[in-house]
Amino acid sequence: MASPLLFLNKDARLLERIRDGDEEALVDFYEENRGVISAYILRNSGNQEDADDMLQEAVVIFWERVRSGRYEHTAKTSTFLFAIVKHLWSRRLARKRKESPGENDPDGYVDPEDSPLDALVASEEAARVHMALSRIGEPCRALLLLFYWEERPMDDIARILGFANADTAKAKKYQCKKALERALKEVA
Amino acid sequence: MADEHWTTDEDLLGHFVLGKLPDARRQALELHLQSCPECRKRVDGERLLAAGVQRAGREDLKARLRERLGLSEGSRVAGEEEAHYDVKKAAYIRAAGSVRPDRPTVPPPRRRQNRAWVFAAATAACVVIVTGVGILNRWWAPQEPLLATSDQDVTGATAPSPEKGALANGTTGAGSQMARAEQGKLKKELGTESDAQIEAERFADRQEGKASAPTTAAAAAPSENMAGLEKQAAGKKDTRERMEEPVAAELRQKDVDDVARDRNAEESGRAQAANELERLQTADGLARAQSSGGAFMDQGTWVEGIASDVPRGIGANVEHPAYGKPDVLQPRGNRNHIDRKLEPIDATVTQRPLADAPPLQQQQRRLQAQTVLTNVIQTDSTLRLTLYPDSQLSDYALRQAQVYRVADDSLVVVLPGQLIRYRFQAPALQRAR
Repeated sequence: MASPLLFLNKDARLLERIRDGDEEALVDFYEENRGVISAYILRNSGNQEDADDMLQEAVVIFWERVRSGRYEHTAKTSTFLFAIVKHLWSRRLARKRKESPGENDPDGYVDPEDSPLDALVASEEAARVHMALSRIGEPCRALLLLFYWEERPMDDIARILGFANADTAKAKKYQCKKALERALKEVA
Repeated sequence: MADEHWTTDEDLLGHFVLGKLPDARRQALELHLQSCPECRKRVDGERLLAAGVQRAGREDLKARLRERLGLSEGSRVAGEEEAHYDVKKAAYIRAAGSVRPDRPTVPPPRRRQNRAWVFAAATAACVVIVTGVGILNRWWAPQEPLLATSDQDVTGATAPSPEKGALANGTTGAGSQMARAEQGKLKKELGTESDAQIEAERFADRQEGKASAPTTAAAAAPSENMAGLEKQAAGKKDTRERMEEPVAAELRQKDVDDVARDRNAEESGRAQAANELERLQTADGLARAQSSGGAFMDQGTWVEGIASDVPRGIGANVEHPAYGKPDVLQPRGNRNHIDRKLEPIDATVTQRPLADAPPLQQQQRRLQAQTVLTNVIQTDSTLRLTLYPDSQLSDYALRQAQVYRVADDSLVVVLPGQLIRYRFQAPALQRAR
């Protein structure tokens, strides 16, 4: 529902657009921060391609956080984005230099690789699941993305995908998982 | 639970892997995992599926983002997969309802090359305008009537003047950094500079260890104007030459001292200047509001806020507005209490004596002792609140004021040691659109 208030600040408007699923908001967010991020990466041994890559990663993480309700507005969104980029870039540099990464920043961003699940996302196994996901039907794919990526509750998923209720969605999710496991075996 | 094979519960398994269980619950389940290899295997499998799906979501979104931005593909996504997902994602987005129907799913890539030319042209135009304004300002200064006294300059009652001064200073070399620092600070306070620019400056300051000199810069800017006025009073013709006279340097130093001594007055004047600037910027919006009638008065919207002495932790003290009275947000009640996350709003909070409020508004106050009559002017990006409290707040309290959005039609002003809650009538706000 669109807010009746006109005085939402820039950050609040951005968050609202993302919660509404407006991907154009992400594009705007990207372009607003491109200069700052590029300057940072270029000053820290990177090039423009690195900067674009980091910024893409960061805005996608930001999108995930907001959409899944895990985003805490403790600092400006641009500050949060910058903190993500700093973490990602320090990790990448550390990998390049075989050094240990620095400590987390107090800007509200916790390194995703601290979680066992997030650590897996970059793995080869996850890449195979990614590939297998493309082989199952679109309704299943949508359902699994809503549950595992956007972390939506079953009630929401049932409403979005047009199931009768949450129980139906749960049953469907079980079938979709099985379909994905079968596809994964084929990929392997 | 610790002794049961809980991994057969699909819901529990999914929520465990996604980290959505409370700590106590999670620890109890983990206890069982330590003694159940089969269950660990199941959890690992679920975790892998979740990771793969999350990866797919991220890569798809990145691909769409790159497409919208017109960027080349990254190295981590295979081209074949990406093409496949571009076809798939449209159906997913439609199914998930995550794209507004009036938007094209994939807009044409933006033209970055053209943007560089536009930026260069805009920069050149800005240089010409700033130079022109600076020249005109100095050329016409002696012929203009005396608009401001030196005291007004020092207190910042005419904020645009320091800003102009800073711009003029920026062309003279030595004072440019201080002037830019003050200009950035002013713009930040006035909400006229983008967050990205402010962040860039903040970052640059951190990186390079530059210390801003607000007091000196603030003094240098008005002193330009002051020097010009002083010369006007003397009836001299060539302003540009006299700006560099020793007298002007003395006046500048005097302004530095005045600003340092009268800091509070400056803050107050700056807030007034911000109000004035915002009033000018929102003239169009106000005109629309006036023509729409309703709750909007000539000076914005009048609303009563409920004040209470509540310390921090405001999220626990705000009730869902749907259960409050029509015009005010009720404090925490006995039913339907919801902890809400608050979102900060760019806002300016000032105060005036209650006696200055229109008599009609004073008479219509409903809960005299507990409420703060407030005038609200809003734009697409900012909010200006003028409080008319029974007893005046300290300057410190006003400077510390923070405004948060509670819900679509509610907000709170957080002052040191107290809150003021507001609820707006949504239909009246919508009429102003």
